[in-house]
Amino acid sequence: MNAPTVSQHLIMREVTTPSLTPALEDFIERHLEASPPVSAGVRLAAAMALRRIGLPHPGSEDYSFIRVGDLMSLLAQVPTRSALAATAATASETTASDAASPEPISRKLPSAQELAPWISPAAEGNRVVLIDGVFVPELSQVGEDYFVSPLEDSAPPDSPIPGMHLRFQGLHASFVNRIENMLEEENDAPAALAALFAAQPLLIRVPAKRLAAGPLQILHLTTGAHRSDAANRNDSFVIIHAGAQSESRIQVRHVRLSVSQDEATPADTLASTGVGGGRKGIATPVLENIHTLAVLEDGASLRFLELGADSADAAQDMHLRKLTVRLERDARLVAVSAHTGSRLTRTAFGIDLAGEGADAELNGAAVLSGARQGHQHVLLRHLVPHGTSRQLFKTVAAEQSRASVDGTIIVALDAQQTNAGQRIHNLMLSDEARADSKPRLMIHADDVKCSHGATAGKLDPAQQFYLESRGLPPDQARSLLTVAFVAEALDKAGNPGDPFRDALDHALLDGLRARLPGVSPGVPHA
Amino acid sequence: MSPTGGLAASDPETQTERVKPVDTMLEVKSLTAHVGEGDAITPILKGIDLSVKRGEVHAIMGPNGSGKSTLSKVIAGHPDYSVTRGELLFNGENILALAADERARKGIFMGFQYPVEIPGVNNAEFLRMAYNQRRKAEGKEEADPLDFEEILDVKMKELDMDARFKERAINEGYSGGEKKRNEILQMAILDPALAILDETDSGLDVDALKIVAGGINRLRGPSRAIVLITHYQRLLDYVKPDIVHVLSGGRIVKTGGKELALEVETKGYDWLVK
Repeated sequence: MNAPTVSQHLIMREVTTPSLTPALEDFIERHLEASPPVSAGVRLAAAMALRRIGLPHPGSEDYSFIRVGDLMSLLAQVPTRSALAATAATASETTASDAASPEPISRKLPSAQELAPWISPAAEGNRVVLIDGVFVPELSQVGEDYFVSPLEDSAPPDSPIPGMHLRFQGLHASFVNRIENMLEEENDAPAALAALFAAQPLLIRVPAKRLAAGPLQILHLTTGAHRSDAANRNDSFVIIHAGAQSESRIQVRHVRLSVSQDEATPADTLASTGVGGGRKGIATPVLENIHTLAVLEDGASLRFLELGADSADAAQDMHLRKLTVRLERDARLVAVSAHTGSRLTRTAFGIDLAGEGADAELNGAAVLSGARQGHQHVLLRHLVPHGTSRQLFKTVAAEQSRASVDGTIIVALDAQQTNAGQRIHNLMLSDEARADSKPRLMIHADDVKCSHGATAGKLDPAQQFYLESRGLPPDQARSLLTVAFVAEALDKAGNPGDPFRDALDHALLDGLRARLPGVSPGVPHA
Repeated sequence: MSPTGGLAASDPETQTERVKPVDTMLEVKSLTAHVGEGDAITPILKGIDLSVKRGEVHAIMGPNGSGKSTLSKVIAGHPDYSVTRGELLFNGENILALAADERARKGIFMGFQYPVEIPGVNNAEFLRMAYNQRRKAEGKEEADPLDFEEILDVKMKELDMDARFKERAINEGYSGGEKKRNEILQMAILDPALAILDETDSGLDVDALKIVAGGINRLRGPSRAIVLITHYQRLLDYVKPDIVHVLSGGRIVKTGGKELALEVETKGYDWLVK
């Protein structure tokens, strides 16, 4: 099997002995015991990583720009005592297999109508809905191109017996092994936690040589109230397996469904979501912690687009999103992550170019206002020769917002002929906003082409004068330039007119247009 | 075709109307301007007097650093330049207190020597916004995208511009000639009363120059004034000016007819500067 272990020496890391809280260790032990075989293996790998890296603490290098105390308070909140009890009780009363399933979904599910604002028509027939990390088949639609099932139950798509338990059978077992290996090497504590806590690892598989006709939409709905064993958080773990020579597109939307604190009956719960009005009470801050792990086999191509833009009442939430991708020979990845920040939004890319000729393109767009924060972390490793990678991060920081991009490119000793580039651009719309950039290149090979650049600046006065000299009022000129600044990153998601590209545009920029009068919401693109 | 061939003459109006120019459109009186602040002030314009009448084409020539570009930017309202003395009248109104966009909406257009690239802003969309701002200022109805596209198509065809310019971002990745053509396209769309073209000829090969000159000549007319700012006489072979000024050291040192441009071409600037 082709899963070369990453040389540990590549990862320069302070040597400490991280310790987890006793409650967490206790939980891990019980949780693993109660897990069915496949999930147990995956969770064990995540737990091992977690023990190695520890929880983020003040001074964690990967959290230089983040007030970790804030994050810790939410991360460490769970598992709660009651959750522990619930897990233990479940384990003792049911078979191991049943315990893998999350708590039964006791609440009424959102109707298709309620979900309509976030449903992409382009992904009709290919939709995966998760509520607080629990896959909801009733709301999902799966067509011919994408196979979706809990990892526990996954059989190869050509299996004559669907749902057959294949833990110890050839293909599937070796794939699960690779996932475990990847998890063991995880460097990001929240990502390891997501894999550990998620109700069930979900597998999305694109068969070899399948050229998916349309995108698959993943809808991550966060309520913080769906699982009785993990309140106020959504831990999700989604695995994507793109078969050799396959082509697929995945479009992720993160949606916060506000649930009032004093929900009385299940029927009330959805009536009180922020979807169609009728919301009551103030939303409890919720932690959304989502780990997506993708394996791109030889020649596979994946476009991964992600949008998280929440209403004002979710501004107190925290969002931790990690995309881990392993690219085999000649595999191609285009990733675009866009968001409007929150009390703390951290998106992370952990990308390994593990096969020769692999190509990765990472893009980020963030528009932050108020006191919102948006932080981007990147660890991209060129492990073998002839890999190419490009990164582009565009952040608009208005008012008192805070942003950072902490991006490292590692080129391993053997990775000759690597071509890697990284650009970080911050547009500062206010003197009170702050943006930090930490681009880093660690090059061990000697025949490579690597570049990186970071800028932070205000709108270009020359461009502004040019527009004004044609009669555009200053407000309109500023708005146009701000939108244009972000557009370069959004364009990586598709051309204007593409539904998801337009959704990104509206979600990120309509608020900005409203703040900068002069351009009506939803300016046409051409 | 001879160098002067037909371009100016292609517009019959110009020949007749130029003979009897009407009122004064632009009046620059003892204009003094500098760039910079505090101790870092650099005086550039040291008392400019200039009067441009409706229907006229003026050429302002001069050596590098004489203040030609500054003059055009000051008239357009560039915020980097401070006017310390003098007056700037447009149709009799002092416009010194007006911002650049307000001057533009009143009908002043400046063609840039170095048009900036603005990635991410669609050229056609920008043109429509600018066009509608001008329409609005004139109290006219704004054009919807389809109507505007028709207008744009006609103008682009006149300037021999490929339709793909509509899809592209403003000036991004354009060649020097394409950028200048885009300036002339904007001028044609905005239909200004006064056009000041700052070194529109620089960096153009002869073919591009002819196209740009053709665009300028098409806009010559009794209701418009054009000021050409140029370092070389070459453009004036194609766009015949009525009046030529030589600017040096922040002052206009000589004014004459189009023969002055030829004189400068053969003798250089030294005899005027000293």
